[in-house]
Amino acid sequence: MENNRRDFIKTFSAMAAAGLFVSGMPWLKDLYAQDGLKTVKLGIIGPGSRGMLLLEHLKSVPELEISCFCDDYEPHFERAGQFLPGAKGYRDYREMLEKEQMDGVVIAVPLHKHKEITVAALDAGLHTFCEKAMAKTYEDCNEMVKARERNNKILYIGHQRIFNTRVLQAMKEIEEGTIGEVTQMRAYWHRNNDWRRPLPSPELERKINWRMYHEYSLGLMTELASHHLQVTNWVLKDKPDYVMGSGGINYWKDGREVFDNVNLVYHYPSGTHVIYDSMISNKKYGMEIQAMGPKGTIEIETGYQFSEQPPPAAGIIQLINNLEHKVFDAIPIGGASWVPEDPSEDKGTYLLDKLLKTDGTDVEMASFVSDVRNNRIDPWLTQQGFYASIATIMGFEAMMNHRIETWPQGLAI
Amino acid sequence: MGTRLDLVFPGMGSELCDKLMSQIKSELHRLDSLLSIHRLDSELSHLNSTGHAGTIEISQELYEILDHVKHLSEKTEGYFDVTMKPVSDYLKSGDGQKQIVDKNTRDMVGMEQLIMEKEGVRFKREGVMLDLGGYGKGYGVKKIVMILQAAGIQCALISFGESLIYGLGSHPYGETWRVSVPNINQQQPIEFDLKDEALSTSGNSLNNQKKFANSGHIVNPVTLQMITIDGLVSVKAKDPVIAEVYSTALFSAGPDVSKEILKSVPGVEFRWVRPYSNGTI
Repeated sequence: MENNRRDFIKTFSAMAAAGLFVSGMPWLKDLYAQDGLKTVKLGIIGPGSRGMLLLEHLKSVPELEISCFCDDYEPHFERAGQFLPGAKGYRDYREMLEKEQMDGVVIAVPLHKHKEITVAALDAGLHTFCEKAMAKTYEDCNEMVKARERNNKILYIGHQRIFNTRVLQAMKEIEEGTIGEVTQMRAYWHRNNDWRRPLPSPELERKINWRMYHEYSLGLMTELASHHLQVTNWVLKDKPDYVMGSGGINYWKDGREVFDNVNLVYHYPSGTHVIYDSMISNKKYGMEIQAMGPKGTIEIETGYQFSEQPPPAAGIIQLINNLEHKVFDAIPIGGASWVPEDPSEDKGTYLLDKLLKTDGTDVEMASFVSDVRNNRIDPWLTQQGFYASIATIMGFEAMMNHRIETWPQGLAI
Repeated sequence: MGTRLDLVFPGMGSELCDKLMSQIKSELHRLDSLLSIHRLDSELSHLNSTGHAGTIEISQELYEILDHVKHLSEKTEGYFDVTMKPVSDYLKSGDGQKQIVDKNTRDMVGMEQLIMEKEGVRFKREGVMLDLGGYGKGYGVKKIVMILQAAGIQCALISFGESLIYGLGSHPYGETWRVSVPNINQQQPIEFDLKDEALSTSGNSLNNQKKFANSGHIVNPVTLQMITIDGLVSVKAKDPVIAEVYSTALFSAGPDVSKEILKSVPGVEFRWVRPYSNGTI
């Protein structure tokens, strides 16, 4: 635990040194504080696989007590009890919200339950962290926002890229104009597996593999695309006004209802497009978010930057170095003509030190605790989750109904 | 001009540098609009599309360039020939495995297709296409050198696509600009000293060996075949146009014929950086 804490401080210090504490990211500023902190008390609802990961990160946050947990699936209930000795366990979240005195709650339940539990938690006066995506329908997303507003509480939606050092550095570069105005974004998320979880017994199929069924999930859109759409909205500082797309099941024909491949084009009011696709039958290209502009490209997931202007020839760089050091030497430069059509051998420039590779969830959880402690409410964070979820649902509707889906009127923060 | 230009001005202030760069860019854009075949609105493109229909009046500058091109073609015994594009296109068409050009394509090429008249120029037949790529690069560097000299610059290095280097004056800490052309494998690179001189290198580079294994990218104007050997030839000359033209011609001519060709060209130094290996000349 103490090691984790030291790693935290190290990471934040490095982020500060890299100039990441820029205006617009106030939630990062007071994470250094180590002394005299008020203890924050949280509960968790849904300590399944994602919920346990959040708990792992929460355990290294100082002055935090996880006082209770809730799960209606016995194996998860038991595991959480072992992980949180002394915490009170509940099988019904309503009972937990009614009986427990706490500052906030972390919700990591299947998507279809997000709205109901989040609204209940906010109405119970609790600061709330809910995993992404927000919900399955426009109306449910909007209800969650309204609940936050009427209770004036924190509502985080679990988009950890907002707290990911590589993404933050990429945003900094983009905002400083390194690649010029962003004229196109492409994002993709490819895996090669059936996206199923093992079943202890067949009747648990829909409970365990809820991602496969429309009753509980919008499949690849809510579970994966929502992350990337949050980033594209963030980069383009806007929300899409319409989307077109097509999806289908072409490989995993195992009774699932959700598409195993989705392909979409989002249009933004500036005329910029986000081209998105996701599939689970090939993983050669993995996942990436590419921001392209007239001056260059930034690959946000891997944190690489490429210039449209090819770098000077190695010989020229050597010559300049020699001149600076008053050295006369041969310049290794002659050869057959360089032509722009040759495949680029540019490997790009890494945006940040590789030591800072975290996906952001650790910072996100620390930030949530810090905001709860300070009662610091940032509607921008809720907006990011809200707009990403609306865009996600738009994509799903466009594919399901074979139509161009426009941004629902009146939905805005 | 479809390539990259690197300029090094040691010790120059940013204001003068910006001013010179602006002049150079504007001159290169002007040359592009004169000589590029990738721009439909260039003067050369206009000639290429209409030259077969009758005599075309062209600018004095283009006329002089074409006259010089004809002269250089004769001096290089036909190994420098700017009419080869149809052959190159034909050999690269389809599966890229064609070895011999058809009669129709053969009839389109050769410098005799370009007729220089008092009032202008014309082509002998339809399909003739002039590509001044290499000459244009040399001509561009010549113009850059003139801009720099007019501004009183005495020391600069110019690299146009890395295959054409010009050393203006000398390195601030040396007597010349010393350039080394990479050699194959671990062999020593070949060094050239440039002082108000250009070095042009032509050939199939190691990096592109795979790409050019079947097709090459330079046509031998005498045999009308792609040159598929792995080799490079570097030519040093005072005039960047001469360096560029002769490196192209000598690569086609091969080492033995090269010596004959250069007998009539004083002051030009050439080296085969890489010996010929298997392939077609």
